[in-house]
Amino acid sequence: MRLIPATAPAPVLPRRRQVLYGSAFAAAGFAIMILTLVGMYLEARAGQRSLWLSENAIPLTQPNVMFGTLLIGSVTAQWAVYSLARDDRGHSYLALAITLLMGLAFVNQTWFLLTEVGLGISQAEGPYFYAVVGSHLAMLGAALVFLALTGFRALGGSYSSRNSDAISAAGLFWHVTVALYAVIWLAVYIMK
Amino acid sequence: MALTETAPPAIEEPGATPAAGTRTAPTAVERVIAAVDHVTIGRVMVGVSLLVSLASLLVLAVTNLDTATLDGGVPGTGILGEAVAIRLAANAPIALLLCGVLPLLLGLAMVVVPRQVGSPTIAFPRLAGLATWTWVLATGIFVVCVAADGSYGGAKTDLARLGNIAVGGLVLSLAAGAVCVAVTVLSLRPVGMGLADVPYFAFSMLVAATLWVLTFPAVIAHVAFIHIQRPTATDLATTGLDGISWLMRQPSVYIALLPALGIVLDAAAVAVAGRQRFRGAAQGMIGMAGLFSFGAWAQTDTARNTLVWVAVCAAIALPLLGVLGAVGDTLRRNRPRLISPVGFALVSLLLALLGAAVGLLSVIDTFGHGQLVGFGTAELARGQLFFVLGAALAAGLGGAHMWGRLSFGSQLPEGPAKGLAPLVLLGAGLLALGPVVLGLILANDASTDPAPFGAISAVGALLAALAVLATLGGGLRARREEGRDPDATFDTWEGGGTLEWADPDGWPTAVESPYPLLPAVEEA
Repeated sequence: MRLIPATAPAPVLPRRRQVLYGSAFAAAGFAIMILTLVGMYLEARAGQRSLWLSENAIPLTQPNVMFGTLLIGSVTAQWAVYSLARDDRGHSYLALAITLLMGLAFVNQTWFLLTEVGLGISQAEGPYFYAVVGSHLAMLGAALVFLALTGFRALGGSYSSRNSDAISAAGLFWHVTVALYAVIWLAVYIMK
Repeated sequence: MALTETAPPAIEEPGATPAAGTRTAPTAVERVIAAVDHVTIGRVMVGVSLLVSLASLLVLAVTNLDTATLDGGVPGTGILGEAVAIRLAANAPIALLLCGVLPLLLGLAMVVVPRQVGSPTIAFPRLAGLATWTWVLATGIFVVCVAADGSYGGAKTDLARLGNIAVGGLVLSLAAGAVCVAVTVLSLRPVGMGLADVPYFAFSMLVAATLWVLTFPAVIAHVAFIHIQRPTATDLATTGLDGISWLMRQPSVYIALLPALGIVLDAAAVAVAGRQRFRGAAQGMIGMAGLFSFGAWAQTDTARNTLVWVAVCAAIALPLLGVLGAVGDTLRRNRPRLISPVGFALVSLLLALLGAAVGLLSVIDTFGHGQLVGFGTAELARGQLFFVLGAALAAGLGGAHMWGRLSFGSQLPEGPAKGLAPLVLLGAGLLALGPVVLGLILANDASTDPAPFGAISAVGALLAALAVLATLGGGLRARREEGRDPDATFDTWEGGGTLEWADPDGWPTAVESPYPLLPAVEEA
């Protein structure tokens, strides 16, 4: 007679979500930096109300289209998260690609807007305007790099429904980027 | 981001030895630089921060001595030239904050917090290593810039800009390191350990890291903004310094106290070899202190002349008193042992409360629009800064002594350590007392000779520097004695009730339950 040891399935360990927490902190840090710059912009503008942007015109078309582009990117970023959480890899890759495309389109449109505005760094408004726009572009660049890296790792099979925290983290970072653009859109482009 | 690591080619012939002169093992320097284990990274930060703290305090002593030797208060008539005195006085507090006290607390956290939550590693170890070495590099650049007539108050434009950039690098690296510690607490706890169960220092670092991430990027914004305007040295000395000075004023200055509150509570528990009562309340006090220390909104004079600012700065005293009450209750109900960490903890709390009291004076002045009493608020702010930094320094030195085996490899000498806490109290107290008394005397636009107050502060800075030097010496001795005592236990104080006092070699890699899920089945 011999005893057959009973076997039990290995317990499911809780997901650590390191990348998600780290991304949340990084997004918060970027947000504080950009909000500080927006605050400095508004303070400077309040002191020179009648002279602010008197020599330059900021058209509304490009900022509005840029906002719409980012909102589309938000939808597709969340679509990527939703798809990968259900192991729908095809749609996940498509959504990531569209999000990247929206981000690149935003950068392209921003560049065109800056050439249209023609603001010089030596003008009083220049440093404030370029600091706000440039810092947000930097954050968007970081979001695009994060999405691209996540996409490549997803292509390599690193992520699935059991491990989708990195995609969620990239999505979170993207959403915060879009939310901050909403603040800039209102403070800089609408309330000019 | 994934990194592909390629293993070195294996030696094919059995018994073959490498060619003569070929190194097969990394040197000690290479091991330290390439380290990703949290203990080595943390020790680097602790060691360098103690050195820079010592240097900063000595510089403060010299600048205050210059004030003490002024002829009738006329600038430039002291032992230093006017330009040198202005430059050193402007940069020494920044160095003490960003290159001394905050990194000391962060370095301790990198060493201790993973052990406290039962994790074998820190979260994002490569980021932690990058943050540490970036901080070391930025510290070196900042120190060189200050010494070479640059940074804020310097005359050389290029070095002034470089010093400004170095400050940005310092806060960025501190924020990155803090994120690693916070994510360790959030995501690397063992199953069954909730956030309410983590030790106080780990919890306080979670709160502190959150506040640092919400504060330091605002500093980066100012650093970057002024840099893109291609400032002159004069621009940096005025606008540049004003742009970051809010970090050293209330309420932002209290972000340095948050880790200290955790060290204080843990020290009390170790002293009584027991547990703190009202655990939730104590954690709530730490959280409240974090809430009231958020100061990125109070960057301008306009924001600091509001009722909200008055309320926040007055309310910070509540959590400090709460922590004092918790510590007092723990010590009162048990028989505390007179160990050095408790001395440092009580000194830290006392200095913190004095800092809050000085802050209350500024609040009263602001509330009365300068008409109720017209204190010299700039001097009061400087005094409050030194009280708060003194409190954080005391807690940092106390933590280094309490977790000596982790921080330095073996326990620091306990005998001399017991005398260091009063030394820190006297030193930091006198350093802060000078500007505080000056601020009170300068009420209602009165004038006075600052020389006596400079002398008081100079003595205080020297005493505090002595305490840091003694800790550094004890730490070096502890490093040399690492591993020599085979009977040394991890539970140095024989009463530590949290995981960092357990022997990590004995940590199980898998939890084995004494109660199997299913009984074994007999085969007929």
